[in-house]
Amino acid sequence: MAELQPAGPVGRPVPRVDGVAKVTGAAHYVDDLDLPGAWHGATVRSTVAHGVLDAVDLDPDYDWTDVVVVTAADIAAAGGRNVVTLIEEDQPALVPLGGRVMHVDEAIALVAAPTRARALEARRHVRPRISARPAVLDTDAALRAEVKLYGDDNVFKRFVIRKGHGDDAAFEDAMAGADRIIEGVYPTAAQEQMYIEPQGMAAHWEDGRCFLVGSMQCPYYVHKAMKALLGCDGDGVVVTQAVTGGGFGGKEEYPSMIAAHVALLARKAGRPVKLIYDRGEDIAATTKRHPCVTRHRLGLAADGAIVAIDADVVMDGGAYLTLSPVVLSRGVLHAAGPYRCPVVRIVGRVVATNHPPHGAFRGFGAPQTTFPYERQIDKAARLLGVDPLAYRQRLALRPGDTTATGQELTFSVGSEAVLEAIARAAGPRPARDAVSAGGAPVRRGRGVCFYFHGSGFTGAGEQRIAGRATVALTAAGDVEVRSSSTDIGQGAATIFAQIAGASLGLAPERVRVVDPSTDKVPDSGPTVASRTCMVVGGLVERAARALGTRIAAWAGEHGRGGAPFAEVAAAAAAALGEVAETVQYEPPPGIEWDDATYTGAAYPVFGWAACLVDVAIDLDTCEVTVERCVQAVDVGKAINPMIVKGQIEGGTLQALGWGLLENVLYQDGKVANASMTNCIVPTFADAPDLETVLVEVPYPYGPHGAKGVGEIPMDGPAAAAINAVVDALGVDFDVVPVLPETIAARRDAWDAARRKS
Amino acid sequence: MKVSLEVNGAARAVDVDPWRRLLDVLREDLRLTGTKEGCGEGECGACTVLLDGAPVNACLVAAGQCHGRKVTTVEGLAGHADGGAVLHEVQAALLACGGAQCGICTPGIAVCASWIVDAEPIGADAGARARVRELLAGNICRCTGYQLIVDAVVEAAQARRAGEGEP
Amino acid sequence: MQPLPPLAWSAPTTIDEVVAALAEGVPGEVRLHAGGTDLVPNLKRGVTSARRLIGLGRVAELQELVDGPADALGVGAAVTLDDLGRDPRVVARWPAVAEAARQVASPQLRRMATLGGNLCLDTRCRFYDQSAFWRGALGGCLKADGDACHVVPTGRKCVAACCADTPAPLIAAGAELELASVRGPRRVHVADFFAGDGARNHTLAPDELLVRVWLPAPAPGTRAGYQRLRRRGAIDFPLLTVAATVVVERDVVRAVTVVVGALGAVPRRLRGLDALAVGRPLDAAVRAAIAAAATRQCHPLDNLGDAAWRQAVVAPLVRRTLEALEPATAPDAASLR
Repeated sequence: MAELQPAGPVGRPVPRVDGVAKVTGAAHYVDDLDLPGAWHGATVRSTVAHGVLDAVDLDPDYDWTDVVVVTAADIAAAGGRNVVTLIEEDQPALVPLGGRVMHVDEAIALVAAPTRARALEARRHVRPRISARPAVLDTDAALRAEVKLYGDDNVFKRFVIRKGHGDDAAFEDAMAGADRIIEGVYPTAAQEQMYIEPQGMAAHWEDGRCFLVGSMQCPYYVHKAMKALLGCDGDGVVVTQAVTGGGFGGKEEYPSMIAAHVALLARKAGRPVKLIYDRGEDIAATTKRHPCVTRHRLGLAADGAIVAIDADVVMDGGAYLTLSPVVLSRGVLHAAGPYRCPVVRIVGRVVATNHPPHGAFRGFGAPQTTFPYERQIDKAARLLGVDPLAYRQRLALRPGDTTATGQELTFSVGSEAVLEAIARAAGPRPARDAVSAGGAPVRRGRGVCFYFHGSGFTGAGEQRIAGRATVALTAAGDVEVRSSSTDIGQGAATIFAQIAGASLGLAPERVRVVDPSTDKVPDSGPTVASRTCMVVGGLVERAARALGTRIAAWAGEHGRGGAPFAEVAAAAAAALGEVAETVQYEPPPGIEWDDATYTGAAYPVFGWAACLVDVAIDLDTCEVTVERCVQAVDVGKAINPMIVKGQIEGGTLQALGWGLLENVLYQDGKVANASMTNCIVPTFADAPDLETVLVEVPYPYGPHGAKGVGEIPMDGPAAAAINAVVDALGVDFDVVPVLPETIAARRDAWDAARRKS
Repeated sequence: MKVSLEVNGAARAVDVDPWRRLLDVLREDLRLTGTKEGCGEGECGACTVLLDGAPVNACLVAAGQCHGRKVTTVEGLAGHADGGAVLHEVQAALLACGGAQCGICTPGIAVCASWIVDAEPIGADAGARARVRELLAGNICRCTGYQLIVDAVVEAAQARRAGEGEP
Repeated sequence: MQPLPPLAWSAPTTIDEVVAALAEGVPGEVRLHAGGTDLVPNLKRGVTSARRLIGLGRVAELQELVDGPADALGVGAAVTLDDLGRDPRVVARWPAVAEAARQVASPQLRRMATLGGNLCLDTRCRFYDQSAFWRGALGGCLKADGDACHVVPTGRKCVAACCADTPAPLIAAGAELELASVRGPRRVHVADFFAGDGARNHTLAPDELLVRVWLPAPAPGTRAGYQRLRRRGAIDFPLLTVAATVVVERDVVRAVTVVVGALGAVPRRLRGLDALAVGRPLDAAVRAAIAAAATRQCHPLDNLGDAAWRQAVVAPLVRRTLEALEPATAPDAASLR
């Protein structure tokens, strides 16, 4: 591990700037806001997966006094368009009469009333009439395209990545040159983000402008969607993030839907309206990780080198396109893994079904494709009879190597460092067979995993977004960071204060990070894609430096040249009024990406990680206990080691949960376990003590060398844990999740394997 | 129904439907919004408060059940000295150890942890971490992986023992 | 989020007042309310028709543990599971009951939930533990608003499972329930309290109150144990429960009771164990024979998720329970009183 080099406040475990408010309960989340006179909203939803909306009947016997009902007709009547604008505009805010109902729980109408209880009661008296049609509930059926949901083939997006070959025939020739080919099919399940604060938003209108405040990751996504929906310009809507109780991707795109609903209700009600989801509604209706099936072929030379990789990735996008193309893009860009290979073919498709749309969740497609290649590499090591970690060390990409898209790795390549960190931390393997404290026969196994994750947006994405951030010396003499990057628990506000403070020679508590609001902060791009620290933190650093330079120049002109910022800031502010420096993203030199061929530098830089998991399996009950989990992550530079560690550990447990415990069940297109009783996530009692190794191989274009860390810890631990289960039992498990019943169902196979060994 | 109860050391009276949830009484009638609702079913622990000193899920308690009883919420943990707030040991430790991220589960965890350090002495032995995990198992956190929270509660328990003059 | 439906709520202070209120109420509209940990989520889901609730928190008698004749212990129905699991008398003499109480849910829920509530816990099924909206989309089921079973499509009887921890060890301990109504008191063995219909799996009359649970003194040489299966280390309802009481005299089994729960509506007391165990030492062979009998007699359904896995776990869980029995101290040694 690289030495942590304190640079002022950077590199130190500074307590969170929002920490006191959070530990004392003073932090105000959207449902905590006191909005005098506010009504409460509720959403009328579809009970069928696919159909046509014939009518929305209001119970004539119900007293509709003091109840506002909104339908799709209200949108056009006010000059708006009935769309939730994202990549495309295929998703309506409310299903219009005669329009297609595309999934269970799709929003059909809205009600608001003075109390929550009244709103929920009124909702039961709004009765949609829907003519049901046959539904498409799996990707195979979608690809048969007998029922058309999107275009002619139900394919939202298709990508092909080719390295080292011209066409399929050339690829097959290369694969045919392999000494051995390992083939596998790897389904992975949907996953619920399960932020502990359910989604919610409040709206009020004033002088024809709509003010929205709520739980969200991306205020400017909401802002853009509202302009189309409300038929207004950028000044017509102001979007403010309230303190947000977790997102993990789940509050990337869905808040635009809730914003649309609450804005419509508030306009019609003529008063503030709050729309807070119940937990069951949140689980049932909002986005989840895309279920995915990957067919993978790994061609090996006799000496174990990889000669060709072939992956076919199919994701279930759900009923609307939402962010699916981007999730698929990230999935396919990571599907070959961080391994040297001259010939790679990756084909990816994301298809339309009548499930509620799947969407962003930490990792964003990469966990779905990391699991397959890491199972494949493990199978290869076993076939070759070599140590799985040493095999990965041998094949790992290093500086000078090229990725599947032909990107040559030059700087900040932490592959060897993270693998070495795991090798050092590994220690002896625990005894394979044991008897538990309760007398159960136990079998232990060890699994490793090695993976990478591109930091920031793909390809030319960051240039397209052209994110901006401002650091200002206010007229009152305070230093403010203004960006639209939201703190959703990951510590953005704290690291921005540290970065700006380091540039200006100030303690972080002297830097105020402004709560993101579209009328106060520039668009820094969305809070996604492991980009907040690296990209927006970089903007904050540049803007702070520019501010420091300007103030230093003023100081020089006024006979105080060379004086520290802190000493002259008040005088400068008094003399100049507000001084604000806004900078815009500039790509690092030499970043070339071709969207047409999917070749070139997919990301400015990659984070690297490796993970080791020891499991113990109760051979009676098939329960798996994670006894040890070590993750080493190359973060470039830990701006705040405590916050980075917390980020990594949180992602690690989400990944272990996805691999071994969590499961979203669908039945007839409905989420069949839409409660925290039945859709479970790990408790304190299910988590092992997590070991985290921070590796720092600096990224020359990141703030103090930092690069992305938000998502990478989600990518690998599930594969490491399942590799450990396979190691213990001697039979393959090629699915996520591996639950006790998954193991129990193959008892005969692993019993036989165990007796042989 | 008139319900008299003591909230964070102060006598309070509310005139509410006896079947109103304690959670709503706290958040809406008394404007103590530190207590959060994560599920409304007793599954997540975000609404944990102490009722007569023992942790309960405020989303499952009816106002009528609280008449004459003492309620402690996250707002009641910090003390006051020299005109300023003094964080409770568990609040200080959660802050120092990085045990709060998004913060929505933090009030419930702070309240439950305050009960742990008060009522369920946590030693410095090897079993301390497992004991903390067992006692906090009714509080779900999705951000932290729990590690830094366990660190914080073990540290707070040590601070408490040191404060009480134990080695 | 979702507030509770408006309901009338009263808080009587005596058993007489409670049973009088029950007698006055319309059956189905009156419900007893103790800890609320099961009732409140069910009210939220709209699966109970209750309109009027009778709170039991102020009936002092229901909160007490009382010593009874012949060294029995009476546990008030509103004693919390936390208090039950910690009571030194229960821990010493009915260790399986104490263990079951300590295994329920979470620290918070154990401080609210009561023994009576655990016995009367609503049955569970993956098609029933859902929002009213979800159940509506499915067309309802035998337990709520419908006439079809989605677990056993040809079934006429609801197969929702009794997912409480305490019934199995209470049955294994030979516990009896003391019930009260304006018609007079009644006693019933816990084993006879349950009925084989998941729609309503107990025989408490609409006007009856569960007053206390009587734990009879264990015979000398009694050993007892409790084990359960669940997915997580906390919170979850059990997917299987196993309780055993074995009386051993001079190293041979004199009596044996094994009860398996969370299968269907009724905890299943295994039959024919005397022939396998009585008169023999409780050795590995006998434990294995009992476990094999359990496999033959217990057939988990898909009401709570994967039936095949739970079926495979029945035998090892029974075997383990029999391996980890704890002594139930004979009454004369119970100096903890």
